[in-house]
Amino acid sequence: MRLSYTALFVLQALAQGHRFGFDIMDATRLPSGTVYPMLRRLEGQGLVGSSWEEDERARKANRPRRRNYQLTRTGREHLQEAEARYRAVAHLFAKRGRA
Amino acid sequence: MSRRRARWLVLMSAWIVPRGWRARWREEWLGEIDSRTLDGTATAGVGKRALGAPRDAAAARAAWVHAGLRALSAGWRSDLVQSARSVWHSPRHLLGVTGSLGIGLTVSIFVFSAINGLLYGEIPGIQSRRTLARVFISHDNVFGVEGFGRAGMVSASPLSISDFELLAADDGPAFTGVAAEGSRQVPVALDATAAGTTALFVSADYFPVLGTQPFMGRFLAASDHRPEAAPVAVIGFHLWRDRFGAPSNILGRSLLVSGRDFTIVGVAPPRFTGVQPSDVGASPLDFGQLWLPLHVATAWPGAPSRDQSWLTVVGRLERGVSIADAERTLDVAAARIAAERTDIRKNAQLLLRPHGFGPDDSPLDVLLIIGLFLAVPLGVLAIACANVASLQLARATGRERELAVRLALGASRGQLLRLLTLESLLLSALATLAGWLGSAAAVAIVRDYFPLTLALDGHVLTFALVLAAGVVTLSGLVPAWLVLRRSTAAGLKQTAQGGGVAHARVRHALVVIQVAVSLVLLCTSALFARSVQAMRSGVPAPLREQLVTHVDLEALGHAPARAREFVDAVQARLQTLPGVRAAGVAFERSLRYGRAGRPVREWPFARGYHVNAPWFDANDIRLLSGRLFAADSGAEAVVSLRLARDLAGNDSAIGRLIELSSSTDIVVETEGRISIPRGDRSGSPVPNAVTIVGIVADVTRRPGQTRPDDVVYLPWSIGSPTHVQWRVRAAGAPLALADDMRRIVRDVEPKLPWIDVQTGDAIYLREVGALGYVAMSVGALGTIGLVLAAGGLYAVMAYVVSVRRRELGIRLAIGGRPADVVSLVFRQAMRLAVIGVVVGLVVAVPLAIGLRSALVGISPLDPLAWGAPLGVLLAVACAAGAWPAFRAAQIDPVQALRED
Repeated sequence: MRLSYTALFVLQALAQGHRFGFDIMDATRLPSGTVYPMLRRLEGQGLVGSSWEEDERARKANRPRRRNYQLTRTGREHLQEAEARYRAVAHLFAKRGRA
Repeated sequence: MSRRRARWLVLMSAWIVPRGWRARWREEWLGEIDSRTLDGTATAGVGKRALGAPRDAAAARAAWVHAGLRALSAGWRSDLVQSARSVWHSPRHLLGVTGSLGIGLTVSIFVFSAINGLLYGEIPGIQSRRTLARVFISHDNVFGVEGFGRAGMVSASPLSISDFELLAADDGPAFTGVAAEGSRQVPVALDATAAGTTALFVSADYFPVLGTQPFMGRFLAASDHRPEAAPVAVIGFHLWRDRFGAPSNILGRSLLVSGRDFTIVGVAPPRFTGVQPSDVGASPLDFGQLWLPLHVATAWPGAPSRDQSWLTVVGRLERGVSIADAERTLDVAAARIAAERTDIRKNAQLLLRPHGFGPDDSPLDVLLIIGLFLAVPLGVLAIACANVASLQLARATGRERELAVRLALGASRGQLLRLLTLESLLLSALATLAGWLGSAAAVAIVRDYFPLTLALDGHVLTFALVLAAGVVTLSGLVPAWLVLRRSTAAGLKQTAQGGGVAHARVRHALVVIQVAVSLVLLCTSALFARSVQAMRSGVPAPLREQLVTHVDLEALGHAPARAREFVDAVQARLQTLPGVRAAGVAFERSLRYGRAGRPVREWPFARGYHVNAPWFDANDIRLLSGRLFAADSGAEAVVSLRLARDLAGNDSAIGRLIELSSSTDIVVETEGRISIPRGDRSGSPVPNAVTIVGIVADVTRRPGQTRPDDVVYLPWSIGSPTHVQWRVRAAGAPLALADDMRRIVRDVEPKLPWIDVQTGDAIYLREVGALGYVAMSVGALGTIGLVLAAGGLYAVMAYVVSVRRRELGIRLAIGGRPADVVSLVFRQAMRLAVIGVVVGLVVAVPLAIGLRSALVGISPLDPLAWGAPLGVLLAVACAAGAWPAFRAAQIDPVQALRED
């Protein structure tokens, strides 16, 4: 599976522990119009899972429910694979630069 | 941002989210916003960020604005570049538009700047003309009231020296000072260089009141105005430069004025000719170019007496004082004058008038004058606009398909209008620049011939910009809008059909307007041209062979016997001068001749000439019956045919006694006897009765003169001349004798180093003067109008054919003969031209009848003046219609049908 940069950013933000849409926007500095569709797509691909907050908790805070995102196992694997690939590329370019 | 507003924004923004996701997305966002707001981590931009804004709102806003501006300016820029490119790539169109509009604008801006100069311009050498007021006097004279004062009609006269002295002694609180000048023609000589000029005798405060600064040296000081002061003079710049050759050592040199010595102390500034500005087109040399102290005038031979009204007096108004207010304060001075001179200045009143024409004289009059002066150039501009409008229309219609594609691709009408307008703006800007430069050049050329200062100032710039805006609207925006109105997707299909009804109407209206306006212009100019031509060809034959000079004998200061000796000596030498056919000398006077049984006051006026025998030959006056004067003629008269008929009807007037009276005499009748209490001003008594010995042909010697004068010729021997004129008839070219005449007069009388000698026809044509200018300028504008209209007609007709190409192709394809196509197109062109001619005639005929009084020697419905422009215009219309018609017949039907 090929991951775009944006997908990679979103996956990395989730890997770092950001769980909500706004947090991911803050972490990635991407606009909502990019982050939310990306989350939907990643969810569809099975790389990201989501769960709604418990009703009870939201009601207590007197606000609508929030949606909680986390990496799935596949998502984590893909992220690691992609990170390794980018690192390899960076390494390769560094070597070529030295040569 | 408050929680409520953030929520509202989310609710609204949710519309952009796909319908399937909307409900859950909205819930998710609201949850996030509320959570942030409640736990205090919310930032001001939270709502906006929910809508997709990046974290840094200010930077985002700046970026958005910048991007927007860039997009906007990019649109303009690309449109501008595109317009510039399209203008550049059609040089013929560019030349046609800028040429047409440039000419129209040049003419209009130039005429406006001349009007502006007349209204607001300053007299050269004089500071702020609008705060100067001319002073006149009205008083009761022997015959009754001469002036009616402030209320109603005023018939006021200039001031005399004694009036002015009484006024200047205390001119009241309204004036900072008063100045007077009286003019007189004098011969002047600087060493061997002699010239004739106008001397101005001026009061002590003259130069300070006018605010004039000397070009060289100084002006007359107060000490120069004392009677015992050494005689000094200031000469004009033009006399110094053009007559004396601009010597740098002029100051302190001696100038001979009518035989008297004056020391030159200064040179006046360029184009300064005294209080009165010069005429349009006249040289400053023909106006005041010598300034002498006023006290000199009182002892000047032949100058008016101290009580004669001959001074031009102006007062400089105090700041903020109106003319009406100032006039009231002059009552004190007027009362002083009336008290001092109860005999001749009874009930004197001093009256003030603005010095020259100004904007506050009467706004309505001013507007009328501007309208009249501007009508012709604006007519030319209207033709130019019509030309350009049809050119633009043709061009825009040619681009209709492109515009329709742009519209279909999502361009708004505004954007297209912008694109089209930019192009006409660009063209109009170029044309306005051309017009401005053209009128600047014209102003630079005529500046020296214009009596007031001419400048392209703010008024002119405003006018030019308003004109340019009008031109852009008429010739650019309207055609663009007309094209856009129908440039829709449907327009794609219609293009080939030739523009639609609305277009056709506009095009046809343009042709009609062009023809009509050019006809009006052409006919008016033709009328003036014919009028001038009639006057020129009407120069009486003897005047073409004549040299004329006038000599003021009084100014020489001789006794009558000595004056007669002078005339006889000059006459004797002139008669023997080679190349002279006849040398006539005469002095003129105005007479009344007797009518039996009528009181003298009702006697008719006649021109009286005391003439020598060769006068009749020199003027080519034929003897009809009787005889001319003999050397020893006494109380005899020769009369003109008209006068003889008036006196004797069908009987012969020869041998009759005719009673005469000088028309300037104040005639008093007591018990049927006529007595003449005061002598004729010419100093010579009129014989009471003379016998008619001959009758000569009538003569007309002035332009436009239809009725010959009644003339009584009296023998030279019985008058004592004060002012004589010589009319010398030359065998060859008259001007060749001018120097000889001057030499003869100079040899006989050293006090007359220079005399003004002119040819008879030059004097005659000078009276044509102003009308000649009008005719010339209207004629030039008419010709420009014709050229523009011809070009415009051709362009429009060619365009009409080009848009009907397909239709004409179909006609040819289904069996139409080329001759039919030619006749179709030609008939269309001629129909429009004829309608234009009719409209033009409807305007031009009443206009010509209104101009009747300005036309001399021809009728307002002169056949040539109407026939020629009509013929030329119809010929142009024929040519403009025929060529496109011919081209239309050449259309290849297959090619025409394939094109669309």
